Amino acid sequence: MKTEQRKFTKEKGWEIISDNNLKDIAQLVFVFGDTSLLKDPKNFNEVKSFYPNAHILSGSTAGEIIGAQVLDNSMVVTAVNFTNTPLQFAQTKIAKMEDSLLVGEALANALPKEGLVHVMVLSDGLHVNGTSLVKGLTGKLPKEVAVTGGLVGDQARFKETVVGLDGVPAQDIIAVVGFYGTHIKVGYGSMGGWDPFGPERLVTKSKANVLYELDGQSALELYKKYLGDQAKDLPASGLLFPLNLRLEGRKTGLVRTILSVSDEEGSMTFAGDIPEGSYVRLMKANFERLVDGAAGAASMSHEAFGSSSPELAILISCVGRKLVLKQRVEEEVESVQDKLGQTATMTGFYSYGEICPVTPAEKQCELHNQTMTITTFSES
Amino acid sequence: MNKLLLRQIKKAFGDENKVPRGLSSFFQIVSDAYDGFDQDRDLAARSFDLSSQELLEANQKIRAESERQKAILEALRAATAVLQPIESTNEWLTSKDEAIYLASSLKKLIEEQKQHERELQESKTRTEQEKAKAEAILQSIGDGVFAVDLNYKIMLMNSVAEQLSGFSFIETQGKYYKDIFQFVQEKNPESPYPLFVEEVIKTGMVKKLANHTLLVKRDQTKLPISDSAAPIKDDKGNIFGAIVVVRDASREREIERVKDEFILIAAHQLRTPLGSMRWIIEMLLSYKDTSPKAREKIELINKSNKRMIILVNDLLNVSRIDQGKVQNEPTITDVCEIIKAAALEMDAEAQKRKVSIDLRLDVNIPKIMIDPKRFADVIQNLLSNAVKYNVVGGKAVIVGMLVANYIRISVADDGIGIPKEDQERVFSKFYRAANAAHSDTTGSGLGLFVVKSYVEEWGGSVRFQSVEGKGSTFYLELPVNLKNANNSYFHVPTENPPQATFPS
Repeated sequence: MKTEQRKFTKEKGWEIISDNNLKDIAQLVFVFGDTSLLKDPKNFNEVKSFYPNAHILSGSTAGEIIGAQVLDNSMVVTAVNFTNTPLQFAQTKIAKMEDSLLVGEALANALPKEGLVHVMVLSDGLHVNGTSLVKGLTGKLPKEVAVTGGLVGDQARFKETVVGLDGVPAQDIIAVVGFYGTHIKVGYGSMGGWDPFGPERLVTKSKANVLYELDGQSALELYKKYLGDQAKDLPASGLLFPLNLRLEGRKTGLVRTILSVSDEEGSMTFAGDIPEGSYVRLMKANFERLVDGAAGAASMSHEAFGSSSPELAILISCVGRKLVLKQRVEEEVESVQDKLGQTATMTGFYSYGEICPVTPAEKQCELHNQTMTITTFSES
Repeated sequence: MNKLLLRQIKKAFGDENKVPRGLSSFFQIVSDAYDGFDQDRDLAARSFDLSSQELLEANQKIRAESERQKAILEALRAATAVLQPIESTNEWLTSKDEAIYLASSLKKLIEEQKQHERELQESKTRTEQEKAKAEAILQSIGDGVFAVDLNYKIMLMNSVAEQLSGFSFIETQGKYYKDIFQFVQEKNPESPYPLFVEEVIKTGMVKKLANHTLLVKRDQTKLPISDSAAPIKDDKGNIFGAIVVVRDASREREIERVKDEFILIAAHQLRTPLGSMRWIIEMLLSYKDTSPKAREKIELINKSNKRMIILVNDLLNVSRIDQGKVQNEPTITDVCEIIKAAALEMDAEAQKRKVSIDLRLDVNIPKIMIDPKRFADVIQNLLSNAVKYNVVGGKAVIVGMLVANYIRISVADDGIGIPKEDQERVFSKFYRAANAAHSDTTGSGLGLFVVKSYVEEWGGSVRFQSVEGKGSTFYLELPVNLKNANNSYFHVPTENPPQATFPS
């Protein structure tokens, strides 16, 4: 496997970071960038001219990751040449959020199953029910195939997220890449680093991923009370208090992050389902644990490789972590680089939701929020 | 600038203006970080306070609850202490006073018992009176009524239901309702009848059945009926059965039949003279020596004649649908080919209106078992609307996709759209939206009715989204294995396994 990277900023234009002569032989190019930059056909055509023979997978972000750097309002491009790994692609457009399950199934059905090892997905971040999408995808894929990826972002604006496969990125698109054969090795890990606090609350009124009431009282009012002055910055400031969700009869909790609020309905929409009858607790950030969490995710993703090092790592980290870590955000990316070693090419983005199995041992994947999720690749 | 930082700068440099050049942008970054820390600290302190307060409240609630429990426990203990002596042996009978106490307690107990019995008797009588009243109401209802329990066994039935079914209540009590009330569909007596009573009990919703239902009586004669069912709930809202109302609809059905027959005959009778007129008009138009003025008038007659022919054909179609007489001849059909042909046919009209037709068909759409002529009718109707009601220079876009085991076809236009208040009725017979009726386009108001009837008969669905002045999109969903296809499943495998992509 060979990789090379370049980045685009408004101030300096295109800058080449590494060059391995992949122009004609790259098969897959990841482009992560700001929504308005990605939507400009000029930029897409430029990337296409850099790599005329490659499939180009793009997604908008709440912050771009390249190497151990975190950028804003830029585009980061990572081209990959696989020596022995066939790829297959599929994409579709979603008409309404209720179709998420069907769309997940259709995408999984579109990928040939023979020799399939791993699937990566990039999805619109605002108009898709991530829980249902994941359910659809995993339901139609063989048990031994894991899915990783994420819901793409749009800074802390929550206005317009875009995804593209071999085209100018647009809203409502979901794209998947399938990796095939016996030569590719894939590792993954996902960890949070948030601490629950305060009383446990019963979800008394909700519908799929829309939450209305906790313990019979308005959930939105509770958030406003806790946020104080910062309530005016909702939904972004809601990310400071994610929810720890405990389903009846399950020990491990899931973390849910807020996507939008509606003052008229007194409701809050989260990136995944919050079923009635489940229990939730507010969570707060702990800087050390966030950074340790990122390192932990890196260690998990490294487990599959034994003593060898991964060659490529895709980091998908939640916008909520970026809002909390602020100027210290690069610390979490550096801690990942420390664990993976300098040989690993790193890229990725800050997202509205992460998709990964709960532990490396199991393949059944879930939608996460507020985590750092890492997928690592190498070829033998 | 952050206040703390400002103070620190003053201490170090004496004055903020004395900060060396080039350091000010650095101080701005530091100031932002200070602000961030302050905000985090405030938020942490605030949430700590609020959460402590909440935990304190929770704690108080638990304490109050535990006090209450303790009090109840005490009361219980006291009560059992009074009862205990009665349960044990007569060792306690040690004094005369205690014997008197026991006697008086027993007397009180017996009196209480009697009082309870009286109350029970009264309530029994009341219940019986209520029951008799309900029975009288049930019997005086003009429609047939019967009720089933959760096992679908008949609990009760009135005399009209006895007459309609030909069975007496005594014979039917406790029997499975389907053995007594055999419902069949008029159009399709062989296919299984919808499990509507079962659905009512499962969902708790009132259900009214579509027309065209027949009841097979005891003597095997068939009676046209209309029926509805509702759940029976106890005072806690638990469903314990369903009540079904059956009405003799022979007269209504007869009127409907006569009306349909009249339309069918009228339309048939109109078709012949319209055909002759058409022939004569074409002949007149072929004469070379007709004056331009006369030719203009003949063209007008020609246009009206064509419109009438379309209207009469639509009427015939609708009348056939109503009477269940539509022919169904499914064959293995490439729906994409039909869509392409329809687009080609519409091309002249589209060019006249400067509307461009855009086709995007997923290569994965399989061939299906469907009547090609009727499928073409559906597509032509939708596409012709998308062209006719479009704006000059507008676009009509047809997208075909395979989604799970459904074929989804959408037809979108940039046209006049459907006003909100008309949206509910666009699929009704003879209905045209207000803005369509005012446009220069002609239409019978029957096209969408035909579309919906056909698609639903195939087990598919049709819906739309529309904004007035912006355009409409109609979505058609057809299952890959259609209902009524005379073949339970038919999916022609494509020669190559589906390739991974349908890139745009």
